[in-house]
Amino acid sequence: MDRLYTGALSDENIRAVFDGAGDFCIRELHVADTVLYAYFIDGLTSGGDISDFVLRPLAEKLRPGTPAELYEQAKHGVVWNSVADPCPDLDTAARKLVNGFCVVLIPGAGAVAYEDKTPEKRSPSEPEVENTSKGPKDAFTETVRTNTSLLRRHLRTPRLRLFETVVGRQTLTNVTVVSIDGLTDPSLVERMKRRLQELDVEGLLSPAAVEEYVTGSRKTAFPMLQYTERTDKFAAGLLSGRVGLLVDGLPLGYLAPVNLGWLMQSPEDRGTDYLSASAIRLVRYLALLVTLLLPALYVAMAAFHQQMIPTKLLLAIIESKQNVPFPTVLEVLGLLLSFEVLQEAGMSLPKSISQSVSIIGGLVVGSAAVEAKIISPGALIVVAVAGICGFAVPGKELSDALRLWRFALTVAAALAGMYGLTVGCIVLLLRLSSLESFGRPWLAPFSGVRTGGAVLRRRLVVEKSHKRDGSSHSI
Amino acid sequence: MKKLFWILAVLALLVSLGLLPFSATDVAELLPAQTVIITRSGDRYTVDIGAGVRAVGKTVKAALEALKQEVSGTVFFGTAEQVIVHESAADAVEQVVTEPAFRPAAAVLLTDDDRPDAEAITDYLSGRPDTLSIGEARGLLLQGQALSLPLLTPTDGGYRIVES
Repeated sequence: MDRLYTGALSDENIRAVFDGAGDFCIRELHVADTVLYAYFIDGLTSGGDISDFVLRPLAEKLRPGTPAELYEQAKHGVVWNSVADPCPDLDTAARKLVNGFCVVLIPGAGAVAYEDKTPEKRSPSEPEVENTSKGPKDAFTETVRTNTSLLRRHLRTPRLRLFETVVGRQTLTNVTVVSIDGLTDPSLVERMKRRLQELDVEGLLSPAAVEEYVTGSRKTAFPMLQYTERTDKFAAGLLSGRVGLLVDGLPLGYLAPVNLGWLMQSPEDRGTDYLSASAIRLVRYLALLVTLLLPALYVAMAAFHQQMIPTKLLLAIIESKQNVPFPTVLEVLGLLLSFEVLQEAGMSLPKSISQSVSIIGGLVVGSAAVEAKIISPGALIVVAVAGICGFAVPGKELSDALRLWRFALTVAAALAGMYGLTVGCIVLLLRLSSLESFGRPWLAPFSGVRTGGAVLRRRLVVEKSHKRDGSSHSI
Repeated sequence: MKKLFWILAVLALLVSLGLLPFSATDVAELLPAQTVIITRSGDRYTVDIGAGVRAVGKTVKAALEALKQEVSGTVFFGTAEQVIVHESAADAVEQVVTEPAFRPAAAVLLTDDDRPDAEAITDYLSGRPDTLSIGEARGLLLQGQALSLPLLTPTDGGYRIVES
């Protein structure tokens, strides 16, 4: 990254960089006939640690000498701090200060940065979304160092590599590229590093920013980077040969590349036996098809191809549609939109009342609308089933993309029946086939008959050889 | 993205001008026929689907067309489970069997009831899957065999089928 500050490393310049910052603190020390300056940012550092492990040793242990000798003493041993990084220039000193370091300037010699970060940070807690009944309960936090330590508890191999860099001209966000030496494809790691180093952006604050900047221009709703809040899932991803990314400030770990097979896997798969996990995955794939296609199929059959509907069902639908003022197409599209609004309302509200709103919106209003003959029960059932099946798809980003395409396919079916739906499905398939995540096809597991563990979970222990199945989709 | 907007704009224009070659009939507009009764009076055939919905034509096909045009709503023969041909219209059996509007799974029978009750016939035949279907009748015609339909005859308080 380009240097933000290019002036000389002096007291005046350091003060000028943080001029106007109310939390910027300066401590002038008269030690060994020399004036030293200690700088730190209140809130990012621990005042007690600075006092005990930086200022006191400097005051008590520093022997008189030339600035260069004082600098050497400060760098090697006098100060009781586990981390003592030399600051060769103003830019490094500024970056250290905003990262929770205490910088001690020895005028005429240089500056040393001592890590005294405040312990005030969120402790690891249970995952909020990706819950499992048996798996570990530690989720990532906003502090990247905490996240790397959590990761190291799952992957104690010394071959775990953490490449740290800074992204964002204003945010100076610390990001860490995680890989396992000898397991992760080096080209993936290089690609990730290169992508981060080429980024010239103001900041990297939101998950969407991370995904769009890291994957490049993203013209698709389907995720090109997988995120997880679970450390075990992140570790499993690394063991599958993927490259990871941790971003300071985001309680998420990113994995690349991604494909449909990985997105359809749930942490619960690893907590149950092979047969149950495989059966549940099949149900999940079925749910994916239902959530995507059911509303469109209903519209196509009800508006264009009534002869495809079984006679008794058709008679029931015709009877239920009596006195309903809206055509099926408008009913289904309106209900899909209402479902989205209800979901958004549930997310924006406090948890204490969101459940009530969901019940009121879903049950009461829905039932009342059917009884008032504003909508037909068939359309309501179809949209509700499609919506519920959408929740069975793991990963919010994938289900968001499916919701978008569900609308599009329903409109296609409304325009041209099964022909329109078929064309829409072909367009979707072509689109997905053309997608690549870090150079790997998005539909890669489905390019052949064997899906490599994408659909049926592989057994972790093969009976005859008792060896671990080490293929990339074994987890 | 720009290309997508253009495609959507052209599509919206085609739809608004009604130029798409697809026409929809909402399921709510359908007038489902369950039992179709065909009778003959003079040289005219009458097609009756119950609830007072009927039409007349020189041939069975013409009567079906007249039914579609005269009735408000869209008559839907896809739900017709039985086609009853009165013995006065027995000469039109072949027309009925080869009529594409009737689905092959629908049962086809003759009747000698001068006032056939469509609802009663529907109830009686609903649990009888062993009647001759239109598809089977078409097969017999294609094989050059004689077509002999079972006779639905009224009995005390109901109907019975007499196999020919």
